[in-house]
Amino acid sequence: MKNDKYDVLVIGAGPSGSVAARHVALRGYSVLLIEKRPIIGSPVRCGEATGEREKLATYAAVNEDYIETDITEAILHATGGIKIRANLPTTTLMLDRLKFDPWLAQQAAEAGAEVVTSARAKDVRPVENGYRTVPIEYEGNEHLIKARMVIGADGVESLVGRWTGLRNHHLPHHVCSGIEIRLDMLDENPNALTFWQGHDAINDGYIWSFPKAKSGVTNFGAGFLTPKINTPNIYDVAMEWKEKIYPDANVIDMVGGAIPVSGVLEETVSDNFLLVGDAAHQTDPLTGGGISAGMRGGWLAAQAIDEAFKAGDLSKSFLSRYDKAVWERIGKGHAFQMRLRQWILAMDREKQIEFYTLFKVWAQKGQSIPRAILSHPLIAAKYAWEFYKLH
Amino acid sequence: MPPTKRPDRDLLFDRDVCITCAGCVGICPEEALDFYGLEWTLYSDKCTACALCVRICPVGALKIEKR
Repeated sequence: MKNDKYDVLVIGAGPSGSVAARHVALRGYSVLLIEKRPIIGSPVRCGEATGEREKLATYAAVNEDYIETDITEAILHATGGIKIRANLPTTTLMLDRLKFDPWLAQQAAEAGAEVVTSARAKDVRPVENGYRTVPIEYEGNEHLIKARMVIGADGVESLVGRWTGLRNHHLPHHVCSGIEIRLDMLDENPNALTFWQGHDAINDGYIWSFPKAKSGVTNFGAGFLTPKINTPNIYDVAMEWKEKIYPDANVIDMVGGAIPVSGVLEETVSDNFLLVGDAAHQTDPLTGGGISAGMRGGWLAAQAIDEAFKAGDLSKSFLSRYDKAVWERIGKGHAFQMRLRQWILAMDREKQIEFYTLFKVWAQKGQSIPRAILSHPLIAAKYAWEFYKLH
Repeated sequence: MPPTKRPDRDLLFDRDVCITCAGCVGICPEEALDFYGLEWTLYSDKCTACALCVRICPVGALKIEKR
C-alpha cells in the first residue's frame, strides 16, 4: 500500500468491488482496492452464467477472452417430464471467472485504482474527522489505512458490513447452499443453459448444466435453500443427479458456496460506508444470479459516492440515495422474482404440472406476457390472484 | 475439536472435506466464524452451537457433536 490515506477504500475484488473501484477511480478519486485471497477470482464460487452481453460494456471494457459461450437458448426439465425449450430474448454469456475477475480488477487498476491482494481488512472503525480507519493485515503486518469512504464488497461471507452495524448476515430461509461439479465434457446442447426444477428434481432450488464451450467443460451444479439438519447435503444430491444425467462424465473438480436469495437489503449504507454485491444481497432471488446485479450495484455506488463527495456530505442520510437507486434499478425486479419463487415453490406436484404445461405454451410461442395472458385469460386471472395474494 | 459456548456441544470441522467456500461465515449470526485464505477459525466464546453453519455447508465439513 503506497499511501495511508485514500478517498475510497474498496474491500473485496469480485465483480462488484472492481466495477465500483473502477468507476470511482475514473471520476478522479484516489482508490485502494484490497482482496484477501492471494489470486483474484480464485477459487471460483459461481455457475459463471450472466445475462445481457449488451450491458457488459457499461461496466468495463469487454475482453472476448473471458467469454466461454454465447448462450441463445434455455431448456427446463420441469415437473412431470415436461421439457420446455425457449430462445432467450437477450444474449446470455458463460464466463471464465478465473479470467473475468482479474480482468475487471485490472480495469480498475488502469483507471487509477491501487490493487493489493492477500490483504485482509480486520475492522472498520467509526468515523473520526471525516475518515474511517481500517486495520489491514498484509505481509504479516497491520497497516492502518484511512479512507473517507469505505465500500464493503466482501461477498457472501461479508463481515465488513456487520462491523459498521449493518445487518447483512443471512437467514436460513433466504440463503441457498450450492455445489458445482465440473465435468470434462460438453452437453449435447452447447449453446443452451439447462435446468431441472420442481418436485421430481429439487423443489426448493434447481439443478443446472452450463456449458463452457471454449474449455470443453460443463458446470454441473445444484443449489437449494438451507436444508434441515441431518438431511442429505447438496453435494450428495448433486452427485446422485450427476450419475443419472451424465453417468460417463469425469469430475474435474468441485466448487461450492452460499448464495443470498433474500432480495436486496433495505439498508446498506452508514456514515462514510456502503455495501455492494453479494454483501448487499444483490442477487436474483429466483435464479441466484448475482454477477450483473452486483456490477450494476458497484456502478450505482460509484455514482452515489461521486455525488456525496461533490456535496461534501458522506453521511448516512445523504448516501441513502444509493439504497433508493438500488431499489429502483435492482430491488424492484428482484422483489418480483422473489414472489415468483415463493409462489412456484409452494405449489404441490399437480399444480406445478399445470403451471409448467401452460408456461411451456407461452415460452414456445415466444409470446409477451400480456399476449400470453389474453390467450388463457381464466387461468391467467387465477394465477394473478394467487400471485398477488402471496404477501 | 473446538468447544462452543454451550457446555455440552462441540463443533467438528473437517479440513480435508472443506472446499473453503466460506458460506458458514456468512450465515453465522454470532460472527463466530472467519476465513482467511485457506485458514478456518472458530471463536469458541461466540459460538452458540446453533448449527446453521452445519446446515449451509454444501459438503458436510461441519458437525455438531455432544461432548
